Amino acid sequence: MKNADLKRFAKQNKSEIGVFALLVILFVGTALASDIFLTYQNISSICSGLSYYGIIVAGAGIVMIMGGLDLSQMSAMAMGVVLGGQVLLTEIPGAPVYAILLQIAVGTVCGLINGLIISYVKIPPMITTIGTQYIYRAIAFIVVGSQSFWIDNKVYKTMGFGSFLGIPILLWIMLVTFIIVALIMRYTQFGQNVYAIGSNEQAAKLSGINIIKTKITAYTLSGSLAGLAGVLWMAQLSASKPSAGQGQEMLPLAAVVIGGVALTGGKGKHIGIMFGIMLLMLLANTMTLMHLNTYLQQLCQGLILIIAVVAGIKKDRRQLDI
Amino acid sequence: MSIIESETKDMQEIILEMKNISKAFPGVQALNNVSLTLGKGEVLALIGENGAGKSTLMKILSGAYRQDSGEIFFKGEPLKDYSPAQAIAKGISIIYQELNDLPELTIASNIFTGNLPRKGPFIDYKQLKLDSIEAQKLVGLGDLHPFERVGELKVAQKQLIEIARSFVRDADIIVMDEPTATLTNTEIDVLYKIIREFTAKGGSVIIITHKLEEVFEIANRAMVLRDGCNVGEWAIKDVTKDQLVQAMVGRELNRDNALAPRDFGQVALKVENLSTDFLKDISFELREGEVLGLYGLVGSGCDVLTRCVYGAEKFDTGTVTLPGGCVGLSKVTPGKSLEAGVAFVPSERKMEGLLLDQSVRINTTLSSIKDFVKNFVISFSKERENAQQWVETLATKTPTIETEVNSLSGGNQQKVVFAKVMNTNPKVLILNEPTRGIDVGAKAEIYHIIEDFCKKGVAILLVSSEMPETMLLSDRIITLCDGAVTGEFVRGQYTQYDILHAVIGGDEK
Repeated sequence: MKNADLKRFAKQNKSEIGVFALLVILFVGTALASDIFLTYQNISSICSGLSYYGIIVAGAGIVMIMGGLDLSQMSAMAMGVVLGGQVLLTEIPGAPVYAILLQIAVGTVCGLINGLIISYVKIPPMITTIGTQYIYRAIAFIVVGSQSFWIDNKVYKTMGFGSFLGIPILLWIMLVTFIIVALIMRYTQFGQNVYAIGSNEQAAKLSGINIIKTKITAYTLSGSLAGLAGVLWMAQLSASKPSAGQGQEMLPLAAVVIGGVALTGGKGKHIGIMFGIMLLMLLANTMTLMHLNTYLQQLCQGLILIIAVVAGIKKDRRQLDI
Repeated sequence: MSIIESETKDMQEIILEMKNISKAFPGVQALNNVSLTLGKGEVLALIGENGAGKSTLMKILSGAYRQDSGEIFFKGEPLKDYSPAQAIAKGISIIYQELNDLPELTIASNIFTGNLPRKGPFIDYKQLKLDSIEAQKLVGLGDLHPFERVGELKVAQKQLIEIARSFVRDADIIVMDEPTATLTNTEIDVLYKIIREFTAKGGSVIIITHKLEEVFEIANRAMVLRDGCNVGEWAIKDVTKDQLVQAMVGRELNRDNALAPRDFGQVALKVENLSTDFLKDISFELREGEVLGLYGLVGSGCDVLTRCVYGAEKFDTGTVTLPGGCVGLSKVTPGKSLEAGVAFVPSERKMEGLLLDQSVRINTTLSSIKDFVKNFVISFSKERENAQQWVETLATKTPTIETEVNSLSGGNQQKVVFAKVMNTNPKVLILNEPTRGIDVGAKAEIYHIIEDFCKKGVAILLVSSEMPETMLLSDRIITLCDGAVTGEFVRGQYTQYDILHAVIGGDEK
């Protein structure tokens, strides 16, 4: 009996288990090959990078499970970073609280705009969010020019460099957020609707699901999470600049796909997405420790992405054959 | 022209012969020993009800399907195991009802797809333009610029472009599937003229049609299929319209299995003056416990009408009223209809009814998920219990409720759809093709489920393209033709012949 349960679990979580196995192999391999890898300093540096990306991919995962796409997250985050930074610089009492709220609010509005365009004007998500990717980034640059600001604020510093129970606070924030998102996806009507739309939008509509509301909510959430990720980004780098996250727009997408989300939507879990981003972060660290340059790192990231997609397609084909 | 010519054509050589063709799909014998011959220069009309096997036969001819048994001879030589591309190369060209044009490309590119004139590795646009004008002249479109986008053209013109494409490929046989369904009278005249010119030059045409006037206008011979069998073949001069209708209908249906007589309750659904740019001023009432069948040939508007009632498609004027007071204006969405007690089983089960890659459980509770939510959290145990119950009640054959519906058979998939809609406790149930692609045994089970619904007082609006099914289940039948109601028939007070007459247009006998 137990054996059968285990088999079913393995069958239903094939892609998640696959990525996890890769993750373990890479972790053990790097630990054996490098003396520095297992030092507290190195691990916590991986974790702080993982923190802000983890929140970004949580949002990217929602829209991609729905069969959508959000390529504007990094720009929305940058807009929040710039505006939040300006608030911190005023040094009014309570500035950090306002800054944090403002960053999340800016992301939320950016996401809401995406959602409105996609569901009402009916422009495909890829086009819409490429467009807003440019627009949000441009606004960030227009607000402050190309200046960077040094952020020297106690709250942000504690967030960025403090730890609780030996674990960096950044990582705590990410983990809690990520778990909440994963629970929403699994246990709420909204989450189930997202899966339904990703599986078959037409059937979902005819089954009475409010497509427009669900889509807008999903994109808005994705934006809010991008805003929150900006808070972590600023805390970690003690800086506010309009180029935050520039050039990294595709990385969340790669992590989500590697984590087992079908490109057409409907399939995939947040736990897999978490493994996906961990794998990419770990890979980057491993390669840095091995003194490989960034271009080689990108080459490997690209390869892993393609392999993940090919594996996914093969699986889908097998299903269609039945 | 017909009498003398068709007599001479009897003497002519046979270009195509399909002998004893049989083809089965899971649960359905689509064709049973069907034979067809086609002479050089002849126009053969292939007629029959929905699902009689016309399209299957033509798909076999085109190479899209392979027959289970039987032989095909083309110009006296056997044709075996060929692809659609090979059929085209040999000279068999099919123009489907859903046109296969490439709307973004030019007229010239459409006509010469696959054999564009070339100079070395490059397309010779000058030559293409000249060739295209020649080809366009053949179908009376000589004054259109060859480099105009096909997407800009009218349907009739697109159809002529497809015919031109068949001409440049030197087709010996052109099959046309309902070519006049969307054409105006003048456009039809142009089409007839082209067909006559083509046959005068020795080409042969098979025309699939629902319009009997058309058969008498253009065809030399008519062949009738029913339930996948040959039922008759006549030279046009030897047959009357009545004879053809009789042949299409066949023997009277056995009505013993009909639903038991019931008393109907209150009015459950009222549709008044519903119109779109296609549907014309449709009104009807449906009572609790009653089954109302909408029947029409393909494209008559039955499917569209049910979608309008459900709110899946917008309509321009008219109202849809439920006793709860929900008035269906153009603002209604499927979600609101469900709340008001109207449930919908779509005709395309896989495309519109199910989340194929999700489990039986998720599909079962898809429309009623909010009943399983407490404090924003879905209760999986309640969900499982519910799905399990439906699996037992409907005797759905599935390994577990967590199995993806993908791997179930058509009948069992349909049971999952029924469970989904039943979970919403509908007062009105719209059924579109409830037994499409389902084997005979499962059909009977579905009929029982429908009967149970009626007993509970659910009002049912049924659309089925199978006439026997519609007659079997419906207490009342409303016929549609070209988006308008053409007749209303109460159980026991009509013959199959009456209905077929009404759906063809309901005019003169």
